This record gives sequence, C-alpha cells and structure tokens, in this order.
Amino acid sequence: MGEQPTVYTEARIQQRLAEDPRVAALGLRVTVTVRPSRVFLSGEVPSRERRERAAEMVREMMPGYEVYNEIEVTGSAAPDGSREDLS
Amino acid sequence: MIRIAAVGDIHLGPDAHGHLRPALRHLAEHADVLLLAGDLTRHGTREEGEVVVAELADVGVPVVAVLGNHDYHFDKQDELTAMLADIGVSVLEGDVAELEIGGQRLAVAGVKGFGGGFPGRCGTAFGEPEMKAFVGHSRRAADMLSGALASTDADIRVALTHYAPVADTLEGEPPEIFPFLGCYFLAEAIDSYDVALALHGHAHRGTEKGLTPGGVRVRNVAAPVIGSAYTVYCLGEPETNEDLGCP
Repeated sequence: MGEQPTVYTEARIQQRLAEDPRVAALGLRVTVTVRPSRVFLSGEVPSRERRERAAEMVREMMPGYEVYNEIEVTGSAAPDGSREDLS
Repeated sequence: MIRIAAVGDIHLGPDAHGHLRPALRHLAEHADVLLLAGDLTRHGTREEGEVVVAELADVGVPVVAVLGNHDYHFDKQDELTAMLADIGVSVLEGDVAELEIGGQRLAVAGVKGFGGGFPGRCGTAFGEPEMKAFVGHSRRAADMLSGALASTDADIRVALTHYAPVADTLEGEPPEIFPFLGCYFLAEAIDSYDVALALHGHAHRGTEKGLTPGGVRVRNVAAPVIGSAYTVYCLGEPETNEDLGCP
C-alpha cells in the first residue's frame, strides 16, 4: 500500500466494511499504524460471525499487517426487568 | 398503562439465527406490544428476511415495525414488508397501526425517515439534483409522518422512525455525521401533534434519552445503545396499584 497516508487506508477499510455484504456494518472504527504494521478494529456488530468476517476482510485487504479485533458483539439477552415509566 | 417494548437495529442474518428468540420467549409477560425501529436485516435480502420472520413469529404480542436503510440495500423493501405482514407484523411507511390495550387506544405512526441534519445545520433542497433529491426524500418522510399522526384520534400516539428526529440522542456519534443520522423535519412533525413518545434507531453510538424542542420524549432504541434484546417504556394512566410499581 506504499506511503499513502493511513487516514485514507482507514477510510477505505471503513467503507468496505460498510459496503461489503459479508459485514455491512456502518460506523466501525479503524486505526492503521505503519510501524509496527497493525490494524485496530472497534465498534459493535450483532453477531460473533460478523465480527470474525470483519477481521477476515481486513486481513485480506491488508496483507502483512497484524489485525487487532476489538469489535464487540451487541447484547441480545432479555432486559433485567427494569422499565421506564413515561406516564 | 401500556407497556411498550422497543428495539432497533437488530441486523439479523443467517449468522444470527435464534439470536433474539430466547429473550422474546417471555415478552408477553413484560410488554403489551413490540415496536421495531428499522434495520431488521444486515442488508435487506430475502434470506435475511426469513431469519427476521422466524425470530418474530408468535412472540405473543402485536409487533409494529418500520424498515431502516439496511433493509433497503437490495431493493427488496416491499418483499420484506410483505413477508412480515404474512406473520402479522405491521410495517409502517407513512401509516398508522392502531391497537387497543387495556381499554386505551394506542396509535403508532411510523416512517423510515431520512437524514438532512438539525436546525441551523440542515441541508437544503437547492443546487444539484442529487442534493434536492436527498433533502426532498427527507421532507417527504416527515410529511408522511405528519399525515399518519393527523389521521388518528387515539388516546396515545407514538412516533416510530429509523432515523433520529433530534440530535440529543445522537450524543456520542461524531458530530460530522449527524446529517446522515437524522433530520429535524421529523421532530417538527412530531411536535405538531400530541405525541407521547418518539422512538428511533440508526445511531448505534448515540444515547438513549432526548427531547424534541416541543417537549416530546425521544428514545434511541438501537440495540447497541440499549444493550439488550429490547427495552420497555410505560405510557398512559396507571390503572392499578400494581402498575404503580413501574419505576
């Protein structure tokens, strides 16, 4: 990827994560460092599988870079019984 | 007392099969109706729609939804709407679902909505056709919401959108993207009628609670914001001492 400023690489990865049907998640955060060659991913997706796919996609896009997958999976348990009274 | 369960941005797909089912199994014990604030799928395919249908079938309470931008990605929004209608889910786009709950009439007026921005920082239908189309889409969505709210005389009105009507509930999102997350045209419509609660999704990094300029409570129920399968809001007059337990 040459000496392109990392901000463009980060933006390109972020766009791909949104547009590629494998992930289709908007607003994931991407940080690329050159020395050492690392990509950090964070944000939330609805399933563990989509979290893994996001990292896979980034590994394909960024050969030679270590990918740190800090993406979290959104909670889907029933709420704890609390509710808000707006009456 | 009407107990409204709500969630948005569930983004289901084959990889999330059975994801919500355990939490929804006992929904009827906690809520009278389930409202879905759009982005039911990852990118709006039929296959994902089938997962949504399987998750929502027979939840034991009426389900009312709007679609979100993700549900439009494959241009199958009409098909998704029909698939959901087949299992009794009302998908609103400029219309109203009326329900009678505990002797009170609840009207849910729903529309997907769109971006544009917030007062003083909003796009205008000026210049290039693309810009006019963008702002025009947002304006039409708000007009549809107005029409829906005007068409009902129910005791309690709730506005359901995917995009945000106010910036309050976007707090936490980068301010630069606010115009892609919602538009005040929706709040203006909501404030023109007697609305008890406005629910939206779309802003995963936003905050739950906000207010329209007219004083209507706004809640961002995007799943990452509420952090659970749904959250419950109680509206209307408490009827029994037991109901007063709603904190």
